[in-house]
Amino acid sequence: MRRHWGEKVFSVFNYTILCLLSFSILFPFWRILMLSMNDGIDSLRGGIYFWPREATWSNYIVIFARSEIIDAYKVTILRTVIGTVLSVFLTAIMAYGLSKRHLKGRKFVNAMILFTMFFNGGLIPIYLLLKDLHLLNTLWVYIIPALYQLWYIILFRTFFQQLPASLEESAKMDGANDLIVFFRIVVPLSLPIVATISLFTAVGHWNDWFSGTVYVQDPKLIPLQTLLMKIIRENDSAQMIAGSLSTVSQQSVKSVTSYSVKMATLVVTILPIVCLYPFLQRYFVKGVLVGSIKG
Amino acid sequence: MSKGIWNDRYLYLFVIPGVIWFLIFCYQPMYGVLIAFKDYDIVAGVYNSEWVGLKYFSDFFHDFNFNSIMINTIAISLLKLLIGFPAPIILALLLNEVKKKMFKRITQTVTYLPFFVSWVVVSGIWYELLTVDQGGIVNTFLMNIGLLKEPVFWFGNPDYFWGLVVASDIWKGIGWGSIIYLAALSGVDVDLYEAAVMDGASRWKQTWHITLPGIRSTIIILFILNVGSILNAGFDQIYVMQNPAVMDRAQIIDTYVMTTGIFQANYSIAAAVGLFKSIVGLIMLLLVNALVKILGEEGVL
Repeated sequence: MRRHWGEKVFSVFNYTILCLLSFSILFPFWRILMLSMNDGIDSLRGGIYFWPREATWSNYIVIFARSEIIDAYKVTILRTVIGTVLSVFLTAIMAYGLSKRHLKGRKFVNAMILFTMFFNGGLIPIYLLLKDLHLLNTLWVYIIPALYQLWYIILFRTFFQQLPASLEESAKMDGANDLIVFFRIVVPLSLPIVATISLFTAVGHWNDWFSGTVYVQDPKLIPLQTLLMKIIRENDSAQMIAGSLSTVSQQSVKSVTSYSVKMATLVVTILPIVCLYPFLQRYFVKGVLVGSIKG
Repeated sequence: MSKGIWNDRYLYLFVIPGVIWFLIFCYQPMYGVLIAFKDYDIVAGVYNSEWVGLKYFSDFFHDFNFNSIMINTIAISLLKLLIGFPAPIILALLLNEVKKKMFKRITQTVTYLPFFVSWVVVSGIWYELLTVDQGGIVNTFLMNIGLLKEPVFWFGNPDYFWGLVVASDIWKGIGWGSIIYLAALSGVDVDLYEAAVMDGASRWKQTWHITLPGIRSTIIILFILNVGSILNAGFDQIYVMQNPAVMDRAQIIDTYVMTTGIFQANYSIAAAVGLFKSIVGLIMLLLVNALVKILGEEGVL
């Protein structure tokens, strides 16, 4: 009887802890959203928690009146789409080649790519390399250095090795070459892993602020995350508001503060991810689990 | 034999672009890191620059910032290992006890979320939570319950920086980190629990004697990998969270490489520091791995 009571106490404690944890994660996101939709000067009084007090779109009107956010959005979408398509395609075909045990030189290539996990040249030699290749200040600096990732090669390779060999063998009997086998038979069977790795790659591109900070100076080529960092850190938002005054009618801008503009920029940056994420979550989880079996 | 290679021509076509990429973007920089031992001259290039031996390593070791950089790096890593490493394990154990499927799924979805936003976003969110004006929620709360008399500028005080780093790291990673343990937990034999209940073992005893041993190998592997990256205090996070007021506690090896190498263009010394970090990391990984094997567990290598 006493143990039964103890379990109940534990259960209540457990649910409480988990609820608090979830709240501590969701609430900060929610509050940012509310502050971004509230009148900037009114927000300074504090006390906005669950709902806006003086609801307005003016923070968003201000940030979209300037070309920075629009340009940054374009750059981010472009690099995410091109980067993901190229990266997933190249990674998949490489991993498919490496999944064939009879391929000569396979062990050497595996060892060569695995070694990069334990040792790398570091930031400076890579920076100098990108400089020599004239990749700095181009859109390609976001895409080419991120084409292959060891972890995704391993995930694809493990997946391909688990496919039944008989399907490919019978296609080969009918005279199909490796190209046809891969694109007609293997790819259709691999859509779940393709989805998982595409999502990881796309999120990586969307969230990357580093390349934009280090490899790019041209303000027109700055991605969203890098712009956000500048706005949060360097009070670029004050300039942004000042700039907007000329383009947007005075009336809608007067109650915007650099703080409320920051909140709106934050929301704009995370919105695509937060909206898509609950639907895609299971693919992400699958990716972690496939990899952990053999890694 | 050559016929075999011809038969596999498409497979080679698949692999070769990747090999070329790895040669250029991973192996060329390994050659480029030689500038750590040279007085790098942009015009002359890596090959033609003068050798200076270990000059830049010694410069770094004698830098008056060296001690504080090393202390910051190692202290933040150790704190993350001590507090941050067990956090997802505990979350996984708690989630494992939840019987209501729907509740479990929602909690998981919510706790995974911060993993998918960047450190820039997380630092923006935390900055807002802890702000002094605009009624920062943490300050307001602590003042309402009487723990604080006046708002504290959390981000501006060096004493709080390590704590903020560890706390925000847990906030961002606890959910995602728990996935792998949850998977390991689902592999624990159910019969063992039934047998334990028969023997009258309490919930706590079951956790201690069945659940934890069941996920021990997963814990050990992740622990080795964490110790191996002891000099990675978390570049992304610390770079975006640091500000001039807290620099004494916030300068780590990676941020030093970034400022010295990229912003001040002292390529050789920055490359030397980066190389020092890589080598120490590799040695640590091998050491812990060997130690774990001596203790009779399976390592990662």
